[in-house]
Amino acid sequence: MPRGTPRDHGMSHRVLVCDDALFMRTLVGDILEQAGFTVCGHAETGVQAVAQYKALKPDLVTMDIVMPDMGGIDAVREITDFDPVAKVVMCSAMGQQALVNEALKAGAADFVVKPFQPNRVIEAVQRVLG
Amino acid sequence: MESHRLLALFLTEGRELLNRVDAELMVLERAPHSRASIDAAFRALHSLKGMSATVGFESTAAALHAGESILDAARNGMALSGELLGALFALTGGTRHALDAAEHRLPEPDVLLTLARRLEASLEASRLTVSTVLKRPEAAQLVRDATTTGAACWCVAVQIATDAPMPEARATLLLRRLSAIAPVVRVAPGEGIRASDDWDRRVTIWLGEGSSVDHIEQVARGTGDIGECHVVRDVVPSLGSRHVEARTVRIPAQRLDDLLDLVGELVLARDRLLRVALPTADEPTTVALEEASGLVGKLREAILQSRLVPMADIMDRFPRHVHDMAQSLGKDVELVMEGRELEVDRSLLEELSEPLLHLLRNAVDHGVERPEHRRACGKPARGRLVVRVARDGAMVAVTVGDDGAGVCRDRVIAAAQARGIEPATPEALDDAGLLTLLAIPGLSTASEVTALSGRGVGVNAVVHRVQSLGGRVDLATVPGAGTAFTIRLPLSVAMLRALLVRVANETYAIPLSLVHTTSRRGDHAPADHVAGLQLHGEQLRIVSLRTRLGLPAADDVSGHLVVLDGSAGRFALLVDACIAQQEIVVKPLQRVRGAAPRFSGGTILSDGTPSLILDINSLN
Repeated sequence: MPRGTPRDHGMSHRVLVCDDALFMRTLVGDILEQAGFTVCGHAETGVQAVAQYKALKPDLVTMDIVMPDMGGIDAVREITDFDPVAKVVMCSAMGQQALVNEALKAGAADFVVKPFQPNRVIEAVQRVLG
Repeated sequence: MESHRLLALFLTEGRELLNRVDAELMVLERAPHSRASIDAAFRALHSLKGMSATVGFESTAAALHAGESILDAARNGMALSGELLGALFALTGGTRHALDAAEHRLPEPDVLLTLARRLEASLEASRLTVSTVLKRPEAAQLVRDATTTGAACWCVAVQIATDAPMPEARATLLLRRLSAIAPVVRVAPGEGIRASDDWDRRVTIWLGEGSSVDHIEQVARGTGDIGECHVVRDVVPSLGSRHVEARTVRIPAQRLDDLLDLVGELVLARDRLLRVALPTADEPTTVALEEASGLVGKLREAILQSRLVPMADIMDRFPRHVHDMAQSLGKDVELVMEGRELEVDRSLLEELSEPLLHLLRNAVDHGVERPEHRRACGKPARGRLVVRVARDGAMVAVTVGDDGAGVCRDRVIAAAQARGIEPATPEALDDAGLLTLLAIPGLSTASEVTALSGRGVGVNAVVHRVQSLGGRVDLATVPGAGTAFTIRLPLSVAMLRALLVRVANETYAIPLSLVHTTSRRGDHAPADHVAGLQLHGEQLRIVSLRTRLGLPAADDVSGHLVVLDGSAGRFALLVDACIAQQEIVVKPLQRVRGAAPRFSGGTILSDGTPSLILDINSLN
């Protein structure tokens, strides 16, 4: 079992999944749960993501970049302002490198690129948690 | 508080961090722009903040956060005034109180909240002045650069994996991760290039002090999608040297030696592998073997390349040496140097230094005449000394020449005769023969030669040293017109081509550059070690390697004769058999006390057996 996976700690890491598309939320949720993580909440907008983060204090957040009412980058900014050690993994479509770059500067801890390959998602999550 | 263990950690680590902050603040009192100190203090405060928040000391965390903001502003160019430093000192004092309270299970002292407010207010006040004084961000950068260029640092050279998506974003993440463990002082190339399609996915980051090579590499690789990552010691480059290609890194010389050593072994292992595997290999295996073999060869080339240093590294010391020597001897000498830009293996450079200084000393002392004497001979009063370096095939040739009096043959012959050595043809002694006489041990120090115009001091040492490195020395001298010594050495002294000979089932190596010819013993009259060999009309002494190594003489007349050019002249070495020529890696030998110094080094042959390299001058 690689380092950083939930079983190392005897409990499952809790993940907040943020994406405006139900499909993507389900996909990311499935990948994470199959690897032994617990999806503790979902958010469809940046505002929701920030509120959910404050309420749930998850171990990790997956964050879409483009979402209604508040984009992923601003959400990252707010979340890391609230919790400087928050761990946010950006989920980005190809061709959004500049936005990903901005998100990283705003405090995101890693990124994965759509279409998602389950192993790359898990690698990124483990890097961030490890 | 979660547990005793955590509390104990919070106290000990917290106090350490506070001490560190205090130390850095004291540095900042004297050097308010020291980026390294600002960053170190920042990191310590940041850690303390996280710890305080974890144990529930929220006012302390808030105060530490405010302190952090001040240092962050300083990073961005705000001057750390005495007032701000005072506030930061107050912060560490207040945090110490908080730690004391925690130790005694008391609640967080109220003073921390006041402190947090004070720090925030100080920062606000300073920001107002900053914005008017340091508007341009470049100004801050200039100050920072001025204080860090040339400082010791870590150089992290990274290649983002070629298949990784969004390399620019990956590089940003890498920078962020590294900046959390040590201050980032330089990055090349800059953001603009990293965002362009032309970027080759390579980024070099210079990190200030504050971490270890292992930790840096671990953090860098932890970024994900990292192809290559190398961390070495360096100094912060100036802003001008932005190009990764033009930059140099400092690494300990020993590492280069180790690399060469290893690649030498690898070449031998490859030869061994090819010999064992090729005869029975099928087509795909042969192709793979040959490809691997070619790569090993390229690797060796690359490593040899990386060891090249310009001759200037030793030659630039010569003008001063010559000047001082000339002055102390009352002579006037002009030194001309050519080829100081030629690059040679660094081991060669070290080996050349001593012999060249020897020859220069000789030239000034014994070659160039005094000004009055030169004028009397119709020469310019000022003598001319030339050091010329040039490539000569696989050798490097270094000539030390002067326009002095030349070597006086008669005196050298007389000195040799005084030692009981009779040159074969004194009346027709050529330069090579003259050098042989000059290189006779002991003759060089004979005062009747050295005190006058003849040469001698150290020629023996020079010839011997150069030959033991697989090189040779040549002499050209014209009475009244000058003298030139030329040293030729293989470009790399760690590898050399050797003739392998066998004696009593042991294999010995002889530097091939010293071998004149080889022949079967049966081609000549049967001979023992005192007998001679007639070669091109020259009578050569025959030396039996068996006898020299203390072994019984062979009972038949088989065997080979190897004609060698020793420092004391040509002679023939009798061995059981000549086996092969081979590239060998020279390894130094530890001198065993009392052992006969018959060997100049050791090596591992391509079949894996160890072998000793003969010091031929000790045999003659």
